[in-house]
Amino acid sequence: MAKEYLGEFEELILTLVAGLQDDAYGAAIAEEIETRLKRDVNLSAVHVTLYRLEDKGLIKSVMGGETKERGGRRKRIYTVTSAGMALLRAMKEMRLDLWKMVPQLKMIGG
Amino acid sequence: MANMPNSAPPRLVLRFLQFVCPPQLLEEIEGDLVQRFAKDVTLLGARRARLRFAWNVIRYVRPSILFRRHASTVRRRNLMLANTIKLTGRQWIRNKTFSTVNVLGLTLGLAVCLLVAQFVLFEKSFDRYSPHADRTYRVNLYNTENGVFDKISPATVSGLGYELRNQLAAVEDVARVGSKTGGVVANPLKGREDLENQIVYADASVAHVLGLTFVNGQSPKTFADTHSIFISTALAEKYFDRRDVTGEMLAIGFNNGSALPEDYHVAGVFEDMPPNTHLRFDMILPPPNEQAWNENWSWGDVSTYVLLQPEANATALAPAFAEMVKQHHHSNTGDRYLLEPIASIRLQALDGSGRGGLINFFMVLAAIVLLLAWFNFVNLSTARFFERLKEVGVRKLIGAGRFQLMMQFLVEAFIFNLVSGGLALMLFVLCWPSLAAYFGQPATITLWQDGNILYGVGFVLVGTLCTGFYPALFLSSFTPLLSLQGKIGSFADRTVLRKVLVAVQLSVSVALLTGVMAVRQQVDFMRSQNLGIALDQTLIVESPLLTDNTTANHYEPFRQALLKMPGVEHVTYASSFAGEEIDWHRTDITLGAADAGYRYGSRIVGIGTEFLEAFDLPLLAGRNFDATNPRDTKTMLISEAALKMFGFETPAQALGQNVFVGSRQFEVIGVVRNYHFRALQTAIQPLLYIQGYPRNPRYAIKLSGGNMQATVAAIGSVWKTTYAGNVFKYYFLDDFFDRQYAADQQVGTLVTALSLLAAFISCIGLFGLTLYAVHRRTKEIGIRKVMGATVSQVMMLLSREFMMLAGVGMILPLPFLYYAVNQWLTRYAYRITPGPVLFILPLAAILLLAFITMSFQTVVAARRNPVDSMKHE
Repeated sequence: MAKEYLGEFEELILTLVAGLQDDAYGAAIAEEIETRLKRDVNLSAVHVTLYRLEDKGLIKSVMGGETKERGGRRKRIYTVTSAGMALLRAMKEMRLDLWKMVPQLKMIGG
Repeated sequence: MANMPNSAPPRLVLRFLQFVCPPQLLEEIEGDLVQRFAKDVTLLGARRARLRFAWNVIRYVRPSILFRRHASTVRRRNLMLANTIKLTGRQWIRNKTFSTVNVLGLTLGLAVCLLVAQFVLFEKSFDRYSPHADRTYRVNLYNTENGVFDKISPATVSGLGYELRNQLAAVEDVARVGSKTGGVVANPLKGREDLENQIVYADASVAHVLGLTFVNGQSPKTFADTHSIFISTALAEKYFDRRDVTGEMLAIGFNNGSALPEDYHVAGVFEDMPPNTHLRFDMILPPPNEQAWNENWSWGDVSTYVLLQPEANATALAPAFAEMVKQHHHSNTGDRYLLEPIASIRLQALDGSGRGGLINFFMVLAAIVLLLAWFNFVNLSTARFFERLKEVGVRKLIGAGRFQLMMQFLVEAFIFNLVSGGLALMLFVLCWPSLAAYFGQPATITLWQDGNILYGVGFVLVGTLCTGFYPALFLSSFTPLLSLQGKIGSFADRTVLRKVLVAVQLSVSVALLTGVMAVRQQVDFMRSQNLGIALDQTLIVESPLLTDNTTANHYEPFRQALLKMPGVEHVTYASSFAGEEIDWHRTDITLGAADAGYRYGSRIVGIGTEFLEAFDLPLLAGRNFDATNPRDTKTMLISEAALKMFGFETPAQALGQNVFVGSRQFEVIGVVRNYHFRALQTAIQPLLYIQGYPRNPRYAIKLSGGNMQATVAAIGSVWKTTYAGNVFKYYFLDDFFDRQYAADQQVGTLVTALSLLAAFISCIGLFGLTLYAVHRRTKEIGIRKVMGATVSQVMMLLSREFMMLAGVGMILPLPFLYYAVNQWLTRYAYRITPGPVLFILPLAAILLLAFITMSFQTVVAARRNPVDSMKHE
């Protein structure tokens, strides 16, 4: 997995899967993006990305329990694999490294 | 709220999603969409929510959703597995000989199993092509003579089938098939003509009962007249170059009293019968005399097939059969009719011709070879443990658990088996065509299509697991510290299992080799026996097929013309010759007067007056037939065996006695010395000779050497002019006679091949065991040599234990072997007495082989410089 490339949206989804933990499924992720990032996102885009990440071995999934609000349909719950976690961590460190190159005139967030 | 009726997502859109979305993804996507919709309803209202829902669904129409085949992929990179595979490769390369012999043994064992499986599969697939094969039966006659059991035979009379069909409700249909006949078939339009032998007289219902399919989809229920026929697609293609030739005409000449062919009308074309059927024919004719065919209880040699109603039970016919015996069998009240399912004819025919025994024998042999190969695998794997002692120790110290180590060895075993399996498959595919040709089976491999193959695969997998498991358990058991020091734990030192395995292997090899010797000795014995008749340089010419009442007159000019040729010594005819079953078999022969009490059974041949001279058959008493004496058609020669049967003390006593065959009276004028008219599997049976031109004679031409080919060609041209329109077909009698041993020779070849394999595999096992022993005693050998031991002494030291082991392993099964060989020999009327050589020679051969195998390593070990040996750790 030396040169695994991850797109911006992929990274976003991966991070959210890691963050939402036991509640990481399609609709919840989409909602999270909308509420937190104020960004309009289509469910289908979320699903396709989830599948792509799964194909890359960064996340894995199991079918969860059924809920009433979904008309008895089960959720597919995603969790980050250790490879996915390692990649997230590596990307974060790389970002930080790059960030350190930027002259620290003004701090915007951390 | 969300529970309001109008807040349900639109049905149509959902249906659309269900249509486009791969089913394994549907539940998740649908769920998320519905959840989203429920939220939208509360935020935006039902109408807009529905619109959004539709839009969201449409967005799913994209290739990465539509063409996604799987719900989730988990790509596990199993590092340990990769590592293990790498290690196995390294092991392989480091021990090239070791791995190669190991794989070789397994490959051979598995390949043999595959070959035998395919062979058995074909044998077991017989007569199952009919859609109702499970309720189709063949009628057998349990025949008694004078109240004593005679034989079970599938040859029944034609009247039986007619009565069965008309009288029994349990019977759905009946088909009677007469014996095979030959005919010269011609399609004058295409100018094609050939002799066909696969022609039967049968009921039209045979198509239904045996499940034949007709090319035009219709299966005719009856023959329109005596000149309509059904032919196979093979014949259709041969004579017309196309398949559906219904309605065409063929000119066919039969042996039915007319020398001219007649026109027959093709009333139906049936698909060729598959090769795996006990009964094959290419043409079906209606019986020439319908009334006699239906009502005659003496029209013999007819096979009767019964198709029962779906619910009917085969035993339901028993009372009806008993009634028929009462009505039609006169004094033979002990007769019975038995039904046998057609699917069991090939393997367990009631008349004893089934091949089931042979099949089981092959399967057992194949299983033995595979077992030996597996024994070997266990032996070789555990014998290597010295080399792997340190490896295991280091691994354990680094932190490998026992489970991990076991997994490693199991994977190694699995890979070995996998490679062997692959090679075995290749070997199987390569070898099958030639083996199939040898056994007369089709070359196509049907093994993969059979469901039972799964059992086979399961069996091999379980075997693999078992063979892999013991070495894994064994090798992973070393305690790290001891193994690093080169000390062996107590568990590891147990070689009992290996010794037992090798002993079993060797004893099996000896047993198989003894079998080979026994078969060879018996066949050689039978072939070297004096048959009592001179069969060499005898040409047998088949009788002309197209005959009429003048055909018999052609014989004398034919004979005279041949006798003028330089290479021809004698010309004679007979109804049958040595080497085949004499089908003229009467069981109503009486002595003294017709119907005089005890009825004898005997075979009868019709012969020409030159017969005895041509075949060097001496008379023990009396005289030969005299061609010039017209009274001699009422006389008879009897064989020695017949003399004994009739109860005469000396040949002279029989002369002048009257023998009645049915109502015909014959005076005995001579006694002929016995000869073997069948192979030596069977005892010599009584035989009566009568003179006269029989219905279907064949001609025997005794040649005097010289240029055989030219003589045969010359005879052929005389034949062409004498019997115009008939095909000149001939064979050499001695070859023909020897063909009776073909089955025994086939079995012999097979057992030879398998036993050589077994011996080879056993030697591999021994090789491994010696390797182990030599390794263990390297230092000891060094010290002994320093102290002055010679090479031969060291070799003795190393071999002694194994030679003793081998000896014990081979001598123990001897009593069983002796019994088995004798049991097998009881099948033969004339047999060898198994002597000590038969048992000692294979034993000695295997011992020698074992010794040679061991010497490969003992010699090297014994000759090694003691300095090197002492350094060995």
